[in-house]
Amino acid sequence: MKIGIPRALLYYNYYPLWHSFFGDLGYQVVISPATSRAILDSGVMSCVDDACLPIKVFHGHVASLIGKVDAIFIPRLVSIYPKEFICPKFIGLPEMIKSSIKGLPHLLVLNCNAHRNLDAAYKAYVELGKMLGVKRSQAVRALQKALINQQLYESLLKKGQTPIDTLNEDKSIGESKGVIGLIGHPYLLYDEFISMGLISKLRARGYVVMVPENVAQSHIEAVCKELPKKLFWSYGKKLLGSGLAMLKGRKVDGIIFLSSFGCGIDAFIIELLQRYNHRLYQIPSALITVDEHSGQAGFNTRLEAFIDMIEWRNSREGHISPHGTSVLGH
Amino acid sequence: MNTKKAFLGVDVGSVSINVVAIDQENNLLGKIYVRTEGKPIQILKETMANMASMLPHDVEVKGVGTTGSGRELAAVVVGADVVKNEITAHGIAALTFVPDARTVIEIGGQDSKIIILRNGVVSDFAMNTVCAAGTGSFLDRQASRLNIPIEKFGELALKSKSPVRIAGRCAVFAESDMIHKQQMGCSCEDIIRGLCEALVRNYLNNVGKGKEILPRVVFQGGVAANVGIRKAFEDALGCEITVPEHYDVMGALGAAILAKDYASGGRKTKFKGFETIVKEEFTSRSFECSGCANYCEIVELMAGDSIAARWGGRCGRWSRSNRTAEKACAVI
Repeated sequence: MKIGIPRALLYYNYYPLWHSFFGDLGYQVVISPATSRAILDSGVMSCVDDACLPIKVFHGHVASLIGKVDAIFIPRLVSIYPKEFICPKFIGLPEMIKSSIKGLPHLLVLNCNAHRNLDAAYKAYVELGKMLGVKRSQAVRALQKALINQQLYESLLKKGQTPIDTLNEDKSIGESKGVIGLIGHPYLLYDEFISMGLISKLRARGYVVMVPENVAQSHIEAVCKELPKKLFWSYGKKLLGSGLAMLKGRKVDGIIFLSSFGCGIDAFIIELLQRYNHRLYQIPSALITVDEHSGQAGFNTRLEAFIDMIEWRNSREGHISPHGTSVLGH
Repeated sequence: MNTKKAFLGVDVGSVSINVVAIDQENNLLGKIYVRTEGKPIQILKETMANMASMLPHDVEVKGVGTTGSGRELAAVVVGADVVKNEITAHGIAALTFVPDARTVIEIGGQDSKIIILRNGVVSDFAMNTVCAAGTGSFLDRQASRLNIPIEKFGELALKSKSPVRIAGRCAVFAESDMIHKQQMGCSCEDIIRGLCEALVRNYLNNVGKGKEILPRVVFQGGVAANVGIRKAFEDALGCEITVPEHYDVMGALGAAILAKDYASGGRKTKFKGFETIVKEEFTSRSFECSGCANYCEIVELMAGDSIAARWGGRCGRWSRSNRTAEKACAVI
């Protein structure tokens, strides 16, 4: 039996886990192709108009698997960590898919809700196994193996790789003119179509990128502890925490926020990061908002101007007081 | 013969094409501002011909810079040494002509931007995000809808005694709000003044959000000609706004200054010469690449019978060089 996994949304966070879990149980795993205009177009056509770009792209990926697989895996992640939630669109994802796309094969829905306790997240995989007619012990064994693969993957990310490198088995990082921090959800940053090749464009200009996945969770937690309130969005916390860690440690020469139009979590997180940066660190920053645009001219202009700004600043470093801007402006 | 050195700056924008020539000391030798009228190549060629006749005979072009949304196109047509984005070009021009500038407000045809300058470098910038409300092309459209020449727009706004409030967040909402106010019997001046205020409010809340706007504030770009918008900015910011002498061609001036820097290293210019530019026949066509599922729209620019440039592809198959482009053609 062939199980299809859409290459969208949380795929970039969890693909080693999912791939290994289904593979170990003896299923053939089929991943939808990389996002293309055809996938985006079919997603936009089938999805409700109000949804954000990544949700529309997910619809496109599901549609592209129809006819190629016997079942499609749709994760419903309500919560991945006790007392925290993730974006509500992920909660309703299976229902959105069912009501918008016709001719679907069997849907394998993973119901993961760790809001009360973390064990519930593991039980979800046993339930998933049951749906496939797999014995409990077999599912547990497959999950254990899958978790080892997932940890291996996460440890590679902590060493500075991005999920794209790990996917393409590209180990080279190369020489660098500086480090650019990128803050954005994995389904934007690592989808080369949505992000308009942001990572490869920066690397081609000689910069090393630092992404949220490169920052240790303990570090993120420590930084977020200092905030006036607890953040209850897991992925929002990850972005804010990793962004603050990059700024605080002055680990980056510049920071780019990549957001999709209409993202509610980003609206808070990026505003907060920009305010903290403005008040305390003053590291060059830029916000790039993506939507269904396919022309790259506007994107490239902003990116080029951002790099110019950093290089111009660096080349004039000797003329600037190291303690920020002087009072009179001269 | 002793020739004088000149440097050209070409700014191909959505609404206008600007060409300037400067000398070694940044003195303006000539400037031309014309409307793009949707035919950038033809207008650019005509403009270059006019520029050639404007310059003294003993002047030799030593460097060319292009900027604006059509900078790649312009670079191919004229043979440019420097191809730069508008932010950098405008920033450099502002710093050169108004050395104590700390904030640049630039409103063009389709873009609006804010550039924060500190200690002689760009320290921060922002451009409008997903919407072009409040830029030159919107003002153009409203002016023609009200049947007022765009040049009179600003003066008329200043005549208003009690500006009406117009919704400024979105161009579509602004237009319907303007029509409603019109139907209620508000005077044309008051509506226009209200529109100017709405655009400024929108600019400051959107593009200028979270930015530290410190004087001296420089206002440049085509919209700076509009005294109504200028007044609205002064009222909103509570400080004087400086409009530089050549506010309408600042991007082109920045490109020319960058070209001068390029040439100062002793590098030879790629400028084709005015005669060649005027003579060369350019044709363009676009087609959909079927190499992968992205179906990119590729634009091909032909100079006579040979391919001058291709762009629009995501993968670089078409843009690397003409020879690889030929190969790509053979593959497909």
